[in-house]
Amino acid sequence: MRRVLIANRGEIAVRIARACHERGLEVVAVYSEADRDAPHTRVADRAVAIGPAPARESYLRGDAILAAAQSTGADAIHPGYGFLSENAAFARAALAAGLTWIGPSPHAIATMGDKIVARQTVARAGVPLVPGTELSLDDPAAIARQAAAIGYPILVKAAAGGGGKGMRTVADAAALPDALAAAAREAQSAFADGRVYIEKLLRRPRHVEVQVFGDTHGALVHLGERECSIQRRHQKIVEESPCPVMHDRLRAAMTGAAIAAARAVQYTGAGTIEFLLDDSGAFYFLEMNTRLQVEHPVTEWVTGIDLVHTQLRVAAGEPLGFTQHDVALRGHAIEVRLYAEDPAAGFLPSPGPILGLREPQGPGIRFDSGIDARTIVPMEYDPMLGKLSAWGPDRATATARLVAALRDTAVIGPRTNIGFLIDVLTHDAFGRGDTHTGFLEDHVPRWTPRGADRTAAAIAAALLLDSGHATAGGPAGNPEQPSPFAALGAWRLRT
Amino acid sequence: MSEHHLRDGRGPVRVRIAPNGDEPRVAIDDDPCAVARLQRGPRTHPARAITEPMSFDLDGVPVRALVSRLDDRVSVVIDGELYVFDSGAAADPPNAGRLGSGRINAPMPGKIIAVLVRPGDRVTVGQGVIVLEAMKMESTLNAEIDGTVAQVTAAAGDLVEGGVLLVEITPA
Repeated sequence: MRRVLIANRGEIAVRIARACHERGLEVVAVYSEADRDAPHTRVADRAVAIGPAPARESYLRGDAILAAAQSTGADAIHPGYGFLSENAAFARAALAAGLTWIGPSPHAIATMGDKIVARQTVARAGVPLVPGTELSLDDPAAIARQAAAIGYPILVKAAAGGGGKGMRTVADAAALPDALAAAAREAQSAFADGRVYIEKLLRRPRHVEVQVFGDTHGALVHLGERECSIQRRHQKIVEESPCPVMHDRLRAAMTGAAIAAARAVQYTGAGTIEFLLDDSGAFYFLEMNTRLQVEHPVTEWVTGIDLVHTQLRVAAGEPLGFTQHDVALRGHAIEVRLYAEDPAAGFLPSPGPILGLREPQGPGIRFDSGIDARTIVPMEYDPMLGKLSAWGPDRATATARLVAALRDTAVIGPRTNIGFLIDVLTHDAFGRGDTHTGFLEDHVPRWTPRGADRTAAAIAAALLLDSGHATAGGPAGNPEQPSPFAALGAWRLRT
Repeated sequence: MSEHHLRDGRGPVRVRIAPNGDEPRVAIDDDPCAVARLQRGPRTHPARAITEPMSFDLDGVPVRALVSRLDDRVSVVIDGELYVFDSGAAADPPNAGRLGSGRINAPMPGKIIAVLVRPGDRVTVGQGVIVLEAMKMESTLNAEIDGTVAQVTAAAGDLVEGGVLLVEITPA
């Protein structure tokens, strides 16, 4: 393995490129027309255009990506997360083209990627399941009967799904037909597979997942758990390790189930088994993600193991290099996802140019970023700007560091969820570790920015921007705009 | 010395500012604020904007701000909080979502997935009228008032710009 093509964009492409360079591997980036000059193209040794902005005409085009690998002499493909990372046909095509696939076997991807087959497979391995149908559902009348038998509320999910796409909560039978239609449509558009299944919606469970790693020599270990309960629109926004309510007996049971699930498909590489944990301590298999996870940095913080380096080693046929006994969890790590979205307006995505950016710094702080001061956040993709994570010897210290880092972060241009994340992390319930998937509904419904407490400072800063520059000419090509403060009488602060 | 009239959430604010090196004099509503130790970072011009990091003490309290002006709008971030000032002349941002309006506008650029109503339909508050896909997520836009659909200006498959009218509802 010498030259790795990264079939992805944004922060994860940048993060993988870094690991490749650290291991002396060359990097080939691919990009769509919307990502020309994006940070992930600039950290690569070579960058190849693969198509127009819409993902299905670029990042989802396996043929274009394999052609890019061939034309650049790449000998391996890292798919990142999302896009083609859990597409077994693409993995097979990459292997057939003679490339090293940095991920699990196509068989493992296909088995776990079909959520219905996955449920059947892990159930046979003795892993507990959320009550739901294990049937492929093409008959609306049958679905309605099954939904009634499971009992509302239920969750409609895409069989090929992930990332909350194609997922709908259904409160009662009347809402079922619309939810099924919408979920199937979204699933069809996101995964080219419109099949859906249904599951009982548990009340206020925690979302706890186990990171596993296997090599091609038969070793299979876990790297502890992550709790990712705080979600909006079924997408995680806060992730931490360890889970605040974890104890030795529960960890032994949950990691044991995770290993059993992974062993059922002879898993190799990095994978994550997701569970729901209820307040009685019972847990249920949700799904297995056969790829690197967005939230992998919190595991790296507490284990000291670089997951992407390990992926590269395993893909090259080397042994893991550590045993279960070597894996020790140290301290506490928390990650938040920074999104270009407006939390005061239903988390609507907020694309557009970045006008100003200040990245946080400090001990125990890590910023996995996919943007820089000249990025235009495209409307075609997931609006995540990056991930901010913090480590501390204990949960309170990690939280305090993360909050300070968020206050230290500034993004101007798109609206962001930074203020919202600060309010979540400083909420008493979060401090107590009282987290569950209904956290935002219960504790931060109808969020509005606090603002106002530093209005005088903001006014001073706004005016100082023009003060002293009133007669200065701008640099060539960027003529200074006339000051609106000088030209207009009444100004207002928008909230 | 220059004088500016701003408006914040509580009402009009009069600000006077006199350049004075790194200790400009600023008065907000005749209340003088002492600006000290002003340091201005490198100025950049992304996408026609003027952006500058700065730090100063305001009445002895340290302030670290990132400031950016684009056309008639100035954005300031302090302690993770965003403050936006504008002239009041600009249209409401597409995300503002005025409550109780009969006009359903596209909150952002996207693709119309489904139109759930037809002219003449009676709708109630909260009823879905348009399904819009943007940034890979489907969002249902709901009626904000009870009424009758007066016009529908979008069709499934349309690509729409942010802020354009999609459906108009006449109040019941």
